[in-house]
Amino acid sequence: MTALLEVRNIDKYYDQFHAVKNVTFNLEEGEIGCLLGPSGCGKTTLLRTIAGFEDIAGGSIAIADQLVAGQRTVPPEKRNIGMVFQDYALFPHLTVSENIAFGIENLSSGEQSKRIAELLKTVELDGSGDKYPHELSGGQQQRVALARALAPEPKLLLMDEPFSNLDVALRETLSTEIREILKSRSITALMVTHNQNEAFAMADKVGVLSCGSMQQWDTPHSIYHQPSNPVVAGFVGEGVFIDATIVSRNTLKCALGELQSDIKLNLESGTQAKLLIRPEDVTHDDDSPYGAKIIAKTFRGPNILYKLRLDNGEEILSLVPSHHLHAVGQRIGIYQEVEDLVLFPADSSMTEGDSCPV
Amino acid sequence: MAQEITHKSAGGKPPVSRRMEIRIKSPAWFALAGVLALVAATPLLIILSHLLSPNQEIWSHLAENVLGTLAVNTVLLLICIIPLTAISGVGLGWLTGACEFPGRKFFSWALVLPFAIPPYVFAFVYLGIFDFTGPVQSFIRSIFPAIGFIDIRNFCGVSLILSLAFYPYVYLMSRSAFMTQGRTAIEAARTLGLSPGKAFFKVALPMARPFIAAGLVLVCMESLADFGAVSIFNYDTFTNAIYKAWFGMFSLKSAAQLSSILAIIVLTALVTEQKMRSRMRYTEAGRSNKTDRLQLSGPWKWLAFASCSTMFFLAFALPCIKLMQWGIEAIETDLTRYLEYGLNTLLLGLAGAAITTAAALALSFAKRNDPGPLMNWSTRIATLGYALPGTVLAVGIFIPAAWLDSNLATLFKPLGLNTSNMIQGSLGLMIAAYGIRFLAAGFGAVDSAIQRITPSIGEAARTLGATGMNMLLRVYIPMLKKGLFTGAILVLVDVMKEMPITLMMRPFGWDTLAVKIYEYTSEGEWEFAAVPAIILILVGLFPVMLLTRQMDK
Repeated sequence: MTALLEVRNIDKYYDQFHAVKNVTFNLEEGEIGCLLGPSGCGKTTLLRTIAGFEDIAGGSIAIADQLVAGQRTVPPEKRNIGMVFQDYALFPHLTVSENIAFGIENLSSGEQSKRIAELLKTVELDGSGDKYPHELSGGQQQRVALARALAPEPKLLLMDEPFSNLDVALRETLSTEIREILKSRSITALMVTHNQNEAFAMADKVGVLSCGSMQQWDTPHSIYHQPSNPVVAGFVGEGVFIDATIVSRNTLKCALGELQSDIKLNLESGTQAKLLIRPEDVTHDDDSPYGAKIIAKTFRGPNILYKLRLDNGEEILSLVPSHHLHAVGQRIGIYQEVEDLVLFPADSSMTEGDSCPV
Repeated sequence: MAQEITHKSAGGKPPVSRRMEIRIKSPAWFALAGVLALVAATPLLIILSHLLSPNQEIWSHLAENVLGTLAVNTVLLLICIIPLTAISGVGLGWLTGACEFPGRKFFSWALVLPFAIPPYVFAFVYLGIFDFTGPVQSFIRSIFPAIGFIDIRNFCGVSLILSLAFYPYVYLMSRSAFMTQGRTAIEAARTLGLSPGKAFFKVALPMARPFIAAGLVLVCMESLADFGAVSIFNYDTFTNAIYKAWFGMFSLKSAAQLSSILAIIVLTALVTEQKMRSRMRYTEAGRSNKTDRLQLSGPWKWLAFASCSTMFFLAFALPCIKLMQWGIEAIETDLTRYLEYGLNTLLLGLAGAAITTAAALALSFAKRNDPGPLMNWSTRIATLGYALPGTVLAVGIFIPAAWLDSNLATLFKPLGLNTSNMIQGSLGLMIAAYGIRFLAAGFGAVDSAIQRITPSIGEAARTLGATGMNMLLRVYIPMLKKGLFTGAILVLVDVMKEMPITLMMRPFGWDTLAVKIYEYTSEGEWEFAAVPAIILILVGLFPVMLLTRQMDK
């Protein structure tokens, strides 16, 4: 596998505002990448620099071994990219077929109609070719936008918050559907979202951006279970930090007892650290020697999220099947099932990524 | 911290690469906008340069003989027009915008109809009505035989005429202010113990002040620019003084000096208007609908009805009736004579509309492609022509054209070519003048349409390989059809009604309806002027319809 998209140390400024800071990552051919982060973190700006709608102040971007930004700047129309916009940007004066044909007018009309028919079938809109965009639902418009972007067979597909205008139910089915389409055609794609479920459902690689910097570029599993810094840990999923002390090479001690790690911790014994505890790491067990007091609860249908106070005053979250109903103020037994020990320096905080340094 | 979060560049300033940005965007469109701005700014710059390099002899002549009269006349005119349009415009705007009374819906748009009547048509219609043998004076004489001729050709008459023609500016502005400010502020005032009348003066009126002021500045600018009405009334202001200096005394230099003074006055008004505009705030405290209008009761509602009816009668119905009456008399004699003038007018209108709309499209597309402060200034300068009175613009265009002509002549004479007055008397120059004068109207329509298109449409077209002209033809023009049509209609009608530029710049044989109205009325032949006037009013109803349709959206 070779890197289809290579982003090297790129910087982008808006006047004095440093919107993208020294971002580097690679997307392999056939992979779906996803840039994840809160609004204003620079993810859309980053996508637009790759598309060529924004210039960069430093670094380089290469698509399919072609340098497109850096020493030279290739305009968007010559970058061999397809793009799906947040508002779809369908041409309202053209039918669905004409929209899809827009980027392939250099082909013979026979080839054009063949490709249009094939794409309409792929996005399950056969028979809607003569409709106008305003006659379609939001989800259908989204699929037309995808078909239109795919028609010229771009090397790289870019998607800017592609599902943000859809309702939640549609968002999930459509994201799976689109992943299948992209995978079956082995299309390399990069999308931007602020929704982690979407990112995890769609992507092979996820990049977490905060304040313009790439915090971590990794598989969804690693992003969730091995966040590389407190910012990622705080943004992705739920969880809290509790104090921990290293006891030996692969053991640490915390309010939930002694925890073993399969791999070496590489920290000297006696070192103070913060340990990431996810809600699903803490299970309800009446026989457990460890107990905690419920201080808040949120009913979530299949399960309940309890906020618990440990005996030493530290607070943790616990995700418990919803038939384990307890009242606030009650004391319950808990048991930890932490598999990946995620440790950060003792002065780390969950809210580090919440505000950007100005 | 596990990873470095901030990446610091060497040195304090961010290394923004301008060079790269320019290569992503096309410089051609930017250049085009610059050229349009330059062309539009040239006449103004030339006029203003006459202020900086005054000719001593001409100045002293002007100062002794004309400037005093012109200044007094202009000030008198404005002193009368401002309160007249303020009272009628604000009053009617409040009645139809914030109150409920019989006929309110009809008057809301009917009171805008006077916009369809050019000021010079008002002028000659009323001059005809108040003629010695006209209905009014005959009636007065039949009762008081001792009274001789009452001449309305003075500042009172002109002010009344121009107020009838221009009050809709104040009416529209104040009406939209009263409608958008909502009723809650008024209701709050009422609960605090104010009577409806007091609430109007203490709350609604102060809130609408910036709108009213902006409307009044527009009235002033139009009054300063008016040529036709003041000429017909033979009331000397700067515009007809410029015309007389050029075509009566054959002194283009004096015309230019007078133009420079008028240009300064108008530019001052323009800056004031821009300031007013920036102070307007559309705060909607609850949308206005039928239920929260002030329900006028008893005599008040009939008083409201009577005021609106009176204005509608004087500013639209009466002129139309009188014109019809004259028109029928004129038709009996000969109609074919108007055909040629009508065709000329239409052709010039279409040519003006075509190039102006094309320029407006290019300008708004350039602005879309490369937004930025420099581009904003370019578009502002390019559309400045609407503020320049036609007489000033004609002088400002004629001077460089004459200069070019004389240079061309010396250049081509050795080659045996005679290029005398190739540019200055040409149709092309006059159409260019229309373009400069009315680009703002076309640009406004096209630009507001282009702003409704999301920028991602253009970006989508780019990722699909369409750029520049290709994008314009395949994406923007089809999507902008309505805006382009609106812009073209506005310019078409403006050109057809235009009087001073056509009068001063038309090549031989290009008399238009407006020019004929000027000629007939200067001979007192009201009947002959009526038919072209009716045609122009019918044409002028189109933009008024567009305006009223927008009004209540």
